[in-house]
Amino acid sequence: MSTRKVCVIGDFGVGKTSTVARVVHNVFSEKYLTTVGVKIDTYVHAPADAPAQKLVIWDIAGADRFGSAEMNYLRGAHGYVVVIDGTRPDTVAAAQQLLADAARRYGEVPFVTLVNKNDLTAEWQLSDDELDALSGSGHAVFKTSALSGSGVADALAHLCERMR
Amino acid sequence: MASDLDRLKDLLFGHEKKALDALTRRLDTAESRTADVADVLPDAIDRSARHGPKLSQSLKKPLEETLTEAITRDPQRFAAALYPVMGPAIRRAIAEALKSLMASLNRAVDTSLSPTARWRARRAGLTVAEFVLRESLIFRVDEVYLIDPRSGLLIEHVRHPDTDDKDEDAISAMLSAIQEFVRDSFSDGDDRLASATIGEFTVWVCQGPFAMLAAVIRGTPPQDLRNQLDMTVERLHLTHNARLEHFDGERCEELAPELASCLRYKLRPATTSGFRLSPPLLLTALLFLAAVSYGIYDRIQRQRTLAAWNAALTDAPGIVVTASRHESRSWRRHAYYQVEGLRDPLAADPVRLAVEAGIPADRAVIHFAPYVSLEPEIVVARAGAVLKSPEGVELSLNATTLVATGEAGVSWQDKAARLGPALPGVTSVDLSGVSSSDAALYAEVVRRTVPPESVRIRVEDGVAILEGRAERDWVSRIETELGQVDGLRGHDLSDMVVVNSVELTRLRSALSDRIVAYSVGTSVARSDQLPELASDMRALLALAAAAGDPAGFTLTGLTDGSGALVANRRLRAQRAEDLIARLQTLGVPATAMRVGTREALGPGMSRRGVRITVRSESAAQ
Repeated sequence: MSTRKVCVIGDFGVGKTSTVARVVHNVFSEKYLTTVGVKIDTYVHAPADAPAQKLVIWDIAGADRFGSAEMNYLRGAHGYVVVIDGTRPDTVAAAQQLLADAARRYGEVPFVTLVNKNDLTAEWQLSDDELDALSGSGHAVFKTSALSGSGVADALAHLCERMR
Repeated sequence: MASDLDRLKDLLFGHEKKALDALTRRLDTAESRTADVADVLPDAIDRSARHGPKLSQSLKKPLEETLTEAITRDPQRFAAALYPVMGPAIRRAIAEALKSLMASLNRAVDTSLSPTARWRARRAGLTVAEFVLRESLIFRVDEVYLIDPRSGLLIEHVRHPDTDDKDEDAISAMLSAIQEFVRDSFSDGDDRLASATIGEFTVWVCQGPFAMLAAVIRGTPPQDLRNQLDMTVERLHLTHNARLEHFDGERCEELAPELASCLRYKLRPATTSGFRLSPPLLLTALLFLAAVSYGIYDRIQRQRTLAAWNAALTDAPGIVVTASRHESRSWRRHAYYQVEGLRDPLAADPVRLAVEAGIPADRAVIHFAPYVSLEPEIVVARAGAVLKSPEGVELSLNATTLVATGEAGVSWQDKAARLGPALPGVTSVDLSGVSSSDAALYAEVVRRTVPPESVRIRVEDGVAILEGRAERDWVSRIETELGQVDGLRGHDLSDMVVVNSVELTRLRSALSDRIVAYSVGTSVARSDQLPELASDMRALLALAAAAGDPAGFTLTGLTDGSGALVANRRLRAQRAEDLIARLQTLGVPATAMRVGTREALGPGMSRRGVRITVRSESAAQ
């Protein structure tokens, strides 16, 4: 079984940790996020028609800005999980910026985009047009809920296929 | 010529000659010979093998030499070639060997380990063998991670079979993250974390360009292990450089044997450690041990002594112990033993019990408040003290009934019946078992004293009481006799009247018809003889009264024949009355004296004086 390094990135407060936590194997406690700045989880994707893959998921602590220390953690990643908050349109631009910084530093790698807080329909602010535009710009967009974890497994499965 | 001959040969043997030349060339050319041998060699070997071991024997030596040389020259090539076969076999062999070691350790220690060690093993959640192994380990490399430093992905991982199965991919990534964190936080250059210690575990990290080796070590690792880890990283980069440089996320199982060689361990020597005590230290240690042992012994002894006293006090009726302790008022002084509680005044002496338990009287500190105990022994003792029970009486308690048995006097029985129910813990008195002893004593007293009818004897509570009159001799004799009666506690003669018959008779005789002389014509007696007379008269009156025969005196005046009748008669009366008056002044009761008439005396009495006669009052009555 091959292993792949996947980094979860996104603006502060978009729900990176809670969204991923719904589906992954939690090995370490969240205290590592506040101490080391990163928490490692694993996830095994075992489709019926392809060899299994094990994702080593680096959940990188969100901060007001992604500093060089956080950027170092992206080194060697095979893929990114980009998380956007559906109730905060500004997080789209932040994610775009992060992706651009990472590509400039480590090159292009596959990624999937999770538009989080899908369950907060009353506060939802991203229009379908904006999402379509995002898809059009190369993003594989998945609507997810940190509350239920819906959509996350599909997103990771998609990312696995892109990293083969 | 020669050419003609050649032509002729060509004509005659041209075809054969060509074949011969070709054959010669073929034989002369090594390449063609090699090709020929290559064609037939497989079949030849096959046929030779079927016909016997000659070929294999012939090939044995050159093959051995060739292989030896080849392995010496390029061992890695053979290792790589043999790895697919040898790798799993070696790993299986190592695992089997460790399992076997653990099993044999299990058997050995299961039969020999102390219960304490077993308990500690169980508390640590380990098998006994694991526990013993960990206790005897100096160090052991539990796990070795080979990590891609760029992605943090795990290249390969080996671990001791005894360790827990963890998510090694996550740990590998976390180790890598921590490396980044440490470098970013604490290092200016490219320095990396080389060592970390967590409890009994040490993590040693050795860096290479394309692989980072992390060894998780239990215990205290030696420096040569560090060297070995460094060399392993270097060797892996040397032999698998391309594989490491282009690591793609697939595990490199072929590296496992190299990593497994790092799973070293070292046990403590079976013999005792090299720690040795110097003689002074040994002496100090022995003295300390002796002092500690004595302290423990002394404390145990004190506790035993206190417990013995405590038990004696607790067993003693009428004592309730509420607290007890022993204490030393200063180091090396004797201990003081202290008890607190309640004590009935009739209970056993606590100091005596302390001495019996081995506590000197001056080391027993007693704080007992008085109380009234209702324990049967104390109730009985209290009854005995209050009722002053005689020696022959036994007291006991049946529930709240005081039971007396034995012999006792009637008066004591009366007292017991009266006072007994008033005692604490007693509601009634049972005297049915008490027999009176006074009757037997009475019979014995009578037998020995043979009392006259005038004497009445009774025995009360062992005391003989005599009443009545008896002769002085008898009274003197019975005092000795009564002293010899067994069981008689004493005798009372205070109501006894002692009679002296002999003296009474003498006095009667001396006083009867006694004449007190008077001078002629006078009515005043000579006083020199009167005091003795009065004394005798008083004694007679007393003795007669004691003998139950009261006496009296008749005083009759006498005159001689001279003188006138009338004058004489008057003189006689005056003389009698004078004497009565005179005797009265000397203590003779007037009631015991009366004046008699001369006529009653009959004729012939011609004397000058007063005649005294003794009369029996009882006879007169």
